[in-house]
Amino acid sequence: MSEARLPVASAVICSVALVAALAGQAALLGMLAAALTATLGALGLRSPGRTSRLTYAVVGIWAATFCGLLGLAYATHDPAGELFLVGGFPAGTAMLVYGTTPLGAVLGVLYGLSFDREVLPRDRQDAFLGRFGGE
Amino acid sequence: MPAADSQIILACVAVYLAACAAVGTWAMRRTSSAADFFLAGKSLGPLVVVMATISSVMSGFGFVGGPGLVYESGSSSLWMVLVATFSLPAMIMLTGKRLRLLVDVRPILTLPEAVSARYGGRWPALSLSIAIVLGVLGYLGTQVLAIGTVLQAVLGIEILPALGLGLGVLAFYSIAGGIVAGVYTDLFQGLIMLGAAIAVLLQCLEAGGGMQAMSETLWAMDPDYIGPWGTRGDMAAMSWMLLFGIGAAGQPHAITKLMMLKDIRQLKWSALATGASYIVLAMLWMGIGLAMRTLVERGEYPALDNPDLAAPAFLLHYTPELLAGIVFAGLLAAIMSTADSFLNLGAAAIVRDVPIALRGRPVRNELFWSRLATGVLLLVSALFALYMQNLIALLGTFGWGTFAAAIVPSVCIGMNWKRATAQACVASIATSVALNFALEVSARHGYPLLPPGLAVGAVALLASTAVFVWVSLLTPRRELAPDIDALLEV
Repeated sequence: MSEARLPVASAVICSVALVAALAGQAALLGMLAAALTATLGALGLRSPGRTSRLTYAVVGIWAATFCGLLGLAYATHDPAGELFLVGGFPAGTAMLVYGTTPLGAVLGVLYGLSFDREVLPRDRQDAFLGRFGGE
Repeated sequence: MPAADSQIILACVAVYLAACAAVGTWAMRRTSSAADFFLAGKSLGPLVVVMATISSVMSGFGFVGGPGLVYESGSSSLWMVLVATFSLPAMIMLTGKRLRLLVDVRPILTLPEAVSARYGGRWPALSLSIAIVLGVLGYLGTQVLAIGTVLQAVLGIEILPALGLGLGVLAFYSIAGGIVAGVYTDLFQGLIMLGAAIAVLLQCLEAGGGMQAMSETLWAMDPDYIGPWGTRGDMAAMSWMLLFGIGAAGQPHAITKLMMLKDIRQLKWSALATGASYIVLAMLWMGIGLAMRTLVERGEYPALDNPDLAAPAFLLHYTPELLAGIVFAGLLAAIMSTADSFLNLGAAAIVRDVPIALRGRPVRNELFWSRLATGVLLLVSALFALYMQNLIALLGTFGWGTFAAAIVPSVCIGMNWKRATAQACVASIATSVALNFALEVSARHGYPLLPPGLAVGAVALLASTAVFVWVSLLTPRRELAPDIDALLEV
């Protein structure tokens, strides 16, 4: 993936999110916040020439699932309707507590799983420290 | 705050203060240079780093202000705290690898020095140092005030002697032991609070009759309160998710801890461990707020005059004394650990970052001046807390948003993108400081410029990130030093 693609995508998302925020579009702002998190997460995971398509795909699916859960929170919260509990919480709040919260951990798991192969392969670390006098 | 009329609670707080003094004495012997004072000699294991990170992020606000926000507005503030499962991992993903490698190849002790190495020139480091000092003053003032308030309640004494005692202990261990003392008291505190948070959550569920019964009571009171956005509405919830979910990656007191790791490969599972540990602490935030509001709504406890009393009131009336004592000590510890982190950051900015940016070299006898600067910062923030509380409140609100908007672009993106330029770094930091200050001041003076609920810091974060990328693309690319060029390829 080209080096500039992710930062430029971040800037585009931020610019649109700024407009959405100032226009009072909270749902759109929430979804763009998830997209921005995923874009920055992909930037953090990126190691030139090593990051696999699977890693980017997982991050993309993460963002889409997060947006889906946000949409479900909006769709299921009806203050005028009957109380429908999921795991002790109203359905909309359950999307936050049991949905987006554990989902967040996927990025940490992905970082751990891809650390040795993609994020920081031992050979790259040794080559860098060997060349520039690491301790 | 309700008075803690219990010998067990007093004993827990006394044991904690004595432990801090003991750690300070031990750490003093391990602190013989500025590298030890600011970076703990890059000697910390992953458990210490994880605990120090979550302890410094979860300040007194997390234990007092957080439950108070839930008590007052229901689910709204959960979007600040439950995002930690991805916000803290994102911080490590964006900054951990390259900052930790950088301190292995350059004599770098602070974040502004890392920025100076990345971009070259004096302005990026100088502008970041100024933003850090402004944020530190606000954060420190609020933490100092909180130390006085908690000790006043626990010991039943006036604010001045309470401040004197709390700041005396804090001054001793932060001046003598620097960041070494800070991180090891964080380890002690973090491990105890992880256990205590689970125990308190169980007490909350028991007092409220289970989560289902609590939800039914709160839904009958106001469906929006226990709905997904709380009573502050979806704009507040979504903008807090943005500000705290992404902004956590820009908190210097947390990022700096990653530079202290002994072995960079220990970053591997630190991202997951940091997010997961923080979520356990967040159970206090959520559980106490919801339980207290349920109890008040059912008439089992009188309405609170101030939402911030939710945590102390619950602990004193619904938990066993020993557990309450541990959490009160943990509360004090959380405040002191955040204060210690900020004292260290502020001292580094004054003694090291600004002189290097202006004169190209640090002061002589750096360890002595760092200790002196720590003491002076503590004294100044105590005076601010006692006599300029309006300014403290403003700067306290200003802190998180300014750090987020200044550091996410310049450090988190800049450390992962070769095309980023020094002009863009300075422009984004200036945007962060100017927007946070202007929007906060106008809102406080009755001229809100933003839609209701929209967090000032979220707007500043979006604007500064966009400014950073667009200015980078519009300004000429500068040739990077060979080690920085190679670093960005790793």
